[in-house]
Formats: sequence, C-alpha cells, structure tokens
Amino acid sequence: MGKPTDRELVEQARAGNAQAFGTLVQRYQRRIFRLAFHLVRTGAEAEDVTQETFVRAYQALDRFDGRSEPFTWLYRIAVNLSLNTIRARKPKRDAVPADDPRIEPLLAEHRSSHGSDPARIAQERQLTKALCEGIDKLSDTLRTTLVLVCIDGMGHEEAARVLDCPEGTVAWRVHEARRKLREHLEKQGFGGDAA
Amino acid sequence: MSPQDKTDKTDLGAKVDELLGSWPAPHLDDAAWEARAASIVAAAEAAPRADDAALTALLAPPSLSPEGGEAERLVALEGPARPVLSGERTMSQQDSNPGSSSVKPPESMPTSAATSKRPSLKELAARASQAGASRPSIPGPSSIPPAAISKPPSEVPPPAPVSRTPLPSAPPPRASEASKEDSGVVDLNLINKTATAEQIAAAEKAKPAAHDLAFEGDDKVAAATAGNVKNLAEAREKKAEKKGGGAMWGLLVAVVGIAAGAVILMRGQSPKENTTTANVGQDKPAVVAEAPKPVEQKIAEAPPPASTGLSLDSLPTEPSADTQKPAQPTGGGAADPKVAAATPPAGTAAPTPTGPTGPAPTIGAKPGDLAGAMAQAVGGSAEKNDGTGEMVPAAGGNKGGNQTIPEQPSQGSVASAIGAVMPGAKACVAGADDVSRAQITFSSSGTVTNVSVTGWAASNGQSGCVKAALKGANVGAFSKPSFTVGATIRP
Repeated sequence: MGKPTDRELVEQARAGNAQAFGTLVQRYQRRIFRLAFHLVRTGAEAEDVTQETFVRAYQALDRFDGRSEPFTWLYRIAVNLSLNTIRARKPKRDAVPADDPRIEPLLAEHRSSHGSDPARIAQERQLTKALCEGIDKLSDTLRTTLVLVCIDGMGHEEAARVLDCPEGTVAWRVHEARRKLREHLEKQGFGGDAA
Repeated sequence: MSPQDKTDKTDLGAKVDELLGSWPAPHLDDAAWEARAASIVAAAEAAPRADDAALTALLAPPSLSPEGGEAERLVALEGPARPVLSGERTMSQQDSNPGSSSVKPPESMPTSAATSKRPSLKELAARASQAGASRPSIPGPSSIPPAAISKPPSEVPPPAPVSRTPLPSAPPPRASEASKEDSGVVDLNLINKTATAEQIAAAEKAKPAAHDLAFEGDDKVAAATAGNVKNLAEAREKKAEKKGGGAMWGLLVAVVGIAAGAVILMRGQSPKENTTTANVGQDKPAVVAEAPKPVEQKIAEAPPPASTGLSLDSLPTEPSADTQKPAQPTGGGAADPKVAAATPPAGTAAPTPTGPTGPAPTIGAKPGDLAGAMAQAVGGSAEKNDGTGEMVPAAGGNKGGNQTIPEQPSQGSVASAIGAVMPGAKACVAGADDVSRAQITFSSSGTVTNVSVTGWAASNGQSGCVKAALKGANVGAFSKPSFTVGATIRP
C-alpha cells in the first residue's frame, strides 16, 4: 500500500487520528517554514507561523471542504498568518543586516558550485544581500506572490488558488516583482556594463 | 572591485531567477524537523478551541491590496477588481497604523463597500451612464459606511453592478436635474414625477438588474417606488406579450424548418436516382440486362486494373425503365446539360436507345460525374484494391478513380502512425544521453518494410528494440512504391 494522499490524511485526522495529522505536518512543515521564513524574514517568527499554521489547520479540519488541495489550504493559512505578523510589526525594517538569516542558506547552497574562492563568495554575498533588500522593498502583494512562485516553486495555477486571484494576475505580479528586483540590483551596481 | 563588473546586465534576470529558485530554508537535520512536527501536533491537540471568526479569517483568501497598475489591469481585462477586505490596507496605511492586524471574513462585507480603491474611469463612466436611473452620486472610497451602501435609502433603487459591457445609452438629462446645481443629492421623487413615460421606460430598460432586485428583494423599495413598479408591471406585461408572440414565431419557424427538412430529404433521394438514370439510360440495352446483379457482383465484374476502367459498363445499373421516365426531365437537366439535350422532352415515353457508343463520349466528357458514379459503383473499393497492394491506375490521366488512395501518405497520417509507436521506441532508449534516429520505409500498403537506426540506440545495442517498436507503424495505403521518413527518438 502506497503513501496516503493528503486528502486521506485530512480525513483520518478529522476522524481523530493525530498520527495522520502528524504525517501531514511532517510532509509540509519544511515548505511552510520556508514560505513563512521568506515572508516574515526571521527564523523565530517563521517557526511561530509554521506552528500556528498547523494548529489552526487542526482546529479547522472540519471546515476543509475538499474543494482545494490540503496544501493550498495550509498555504493560505500560512500566508495570512505571515501577513498578520508583518503588519503587527512596529517599525518597518529598511536595511538588511549583514547577518540576515536568509543570506547564509543561499550562500551555502551555491558554495558547492562556486568553490571556495573568497572573492567569488564575497561577490555572491553582496548580491544576495542586495537581493534581500530588493525583496524587502517589494509590497506585500508582490513579495508574497514572488515567494510562492519563484522561491517555493508553486505554479501560477496553485498560487492563484492560494491567493484567490486569476492566474493572469499572478503572472503579472511575478513579472512586476522580477522587474523591480532587476531595477533595484541595477541601481546597486549589479548588472552594469561588463568590465 | 566595482559592483558593475560583478554581473553582466544581460545575465541579471537569469541570475535572479537562479538565486530565487534555489533559495533554501535554514538547514535543519531530519531529527530536528521530526521533533518540531511532534511538538506541533502536541500543540495542536492541546490548543483550546479557536474563535470561529478568527478561523474564518485565516481560511479566507489573503488580504493583499492590488498592486499599482494591477487594479486598472483587472478592471480592463477581468472586470471589477477583487474587493479589498476590511482588514486590508495599503502599505502606507500599514505604516501609519500598524496596530490592528485582524482580517475580517470576506463574507461579512458587501462587495461594493469593501472596495477601498478609487473607482476607475471606466467604472465612473459606467455609473455616469446610469445617472437618474441608478445611484446619483459616486461614493468615496471610505466616506459611506458599508451598511449605508448595502441598504440604500428607500427612494433609491439598489445600484446595478458595474458591467464590463457598455450599458445602453441613458436617457437625456431631465430638466429637473439640468436646472439644479449638482449638489450630489438627487430627488428621485421629483424625477419620477417630471419624467415622461418614455424616459421611465428607457431608464428601466437601462438597468435590468435593478428590476429584479426591486421586485424580489426589498419590499420597502418596491413600495416607495410604486410609480416605477407600475411602469415595470406594464413593461413586464409587454414582455409577456412579446414572449407569447415569440412563441408563435418560434412555432412557425419550427414548422417551416420541418417542412424544409422534409423537402430536402425527399430531394436528396430523388437526384441520385435521376442522375443515375440520366447517365445510364443512354446505354440501356447493354446495362439493363445486368441490372438485377448486386453491386458486389458488379465490382467483381469490373475490368482488371490494367484496363481503362472507365467504360460505361462499369457504371451502376440500379434504375429500371419505370423509374427513368418521370425522373428524366429534372435529373437530366441537373446532371448534365448535354445529356439533357440528348434526352427527349418530358412526356416522351422513353429515351431513344442510341447504342453503347452513342452517349459514351458525352458522359466521358464529364469526369466529375464519371468519378462520382465510379465511386458509387465501387463503394469503398479502395480497400478492396488494397488487398492487391496496387492501385488501379487511371487510364488517360483521369484522377477521378485515384482519389481514394493518395500518392504518398499525408504528414498527418505519418505523424500519427509514428506517434503511436514512438512510446515503445522511447522505452528502448530510456536513460540515453543522446538522441537516436531512425529511417522508416513504408510499402505502398502502408506497413513498415524497413527501419534503419542510427545514433545512441545503434551504438548501444538497442537498434533491434527500436526497430521492433517502429515496425508496428502503419500509414495506410498509398500509390507510390515506397515512402521513407526519418524520425528522431529522444530519451
């Protein structure tokens, strides 16, 4: 017998099977955490959002009507919680600190391909930092859509379901976010005339 | 190091995409994730029952305000923009008032009231076109509370939703409106009193949605707008009358249609006979004798492929002398003027037999008719010819008899034939790091006679497998001796 589907797990969890819900958590907590992490930008808040997402989902199991996929449902809760967290924040952070927790994982991901050339690593770090700043300057709408589609790898159709907007709108937002990111990076001196 | 020489401008987009696409979450080992999952499940089980409203808000679509430029795009392409929820604020609003973050459920908010964006020019124009018939003034984004809009004053009928399609032209401005200053308040009672019957009818026509709302939804509105209701009732009576008339017209059209269909059916049968009789009647002495024979037998008696195959003897001979008589005048005229000229006028007992050679040149001069007659006579004989593997050559270059089998297979048939067997061939090269190519030769019967394989499959001993897979292709019969096509097999 193969692995149970998400819907089956939801059905079992709805019937009181906590283990089934645990399987669902294990299956999606990394993606939910990554989504929250890129939206709220701190690991601690992302952890909170992740836990809260599943807690609320557990409480709302009876409301899952099966019209969408469970992960779409979870994503929607996570996005709402992340936006609430961002909006509850007192000051809006303008500058990205050098030790921004988003930078190191990306550098580590690319270190294997770039080797240990210090100049190259420094260059990548600068670019990643500028990219983080560009992402932070995006509006919630563009940033959420960009994170869902470009970072999480969600298709336009799925993202449209999560955000409850037409696919064309998702595509437009992604295009707009990428354009703004490119502009920001060019202003920062990246992507100028090749030397 | 100047930042300008870090990344080429042309590569920036790709670089950004690469970085975004490979951005991982902070690394945790599996044990840590499992521990987190366990704690999440424990927290979920231990958590107190959540507030229904809060859960509803979380399950609602995320409250993201439309991006600048997106609203216009939505109005232009997809109709009115998605309503912004009550908890939804712009970034500037968030900055100025970061306190509350609750998101109210969408179903609690009426659509029109929840929209916090400014109405677009298109929307304004649509509303303006309904001046006098709909809400007189456009509400500000937040000046009117939702309740005030969801329950309009009794004099004012509920506003029709803004449609993407242009609304019918509104009646000209009334004198009562034109003479007054635009204070934003319109006395609809005054308008109703001063309006002419034509204006009221035109106004009601311009806002069909308001009709139903006034009748079905709000009795108060209906009572307050009694004058309008009266007019509406009259309009509905007229509509009902129109519907009755429409039914009558529909019935009439249906009867005419049925009659026309019957005539077409009847005529569809008779021309066949007429045409056949007109053509065949010329050589009656020779053909009528064979008439009782079934068509299959006739095909069996058809001349061999080497012969011309176009003689009148091979034509069908179903009609009898009885059926020819009444059919001749119309059938002969319709089928061939020359034949019609050769046939006697109506009322003549029977055409004069002119012998087998008489009419032959006349009919032979009409290859279209001959081809049709032959096709009717052989009735799918192409398949029968396929059995021989050869086409019946059309003597004298007459292509009429060659139309069922193409000279070579069409691209579509080749593509579908190869496409049908391609999965099998691909299975042979699964895991290959290079493409394989095959030259497939089809015989005139459409089957594969030879397959030559090159590329990865050939160099890795999979050519036999590929050949076996591709040999199942069949493109259907064609007249050329053979046909070869190349195919690329990608892993």
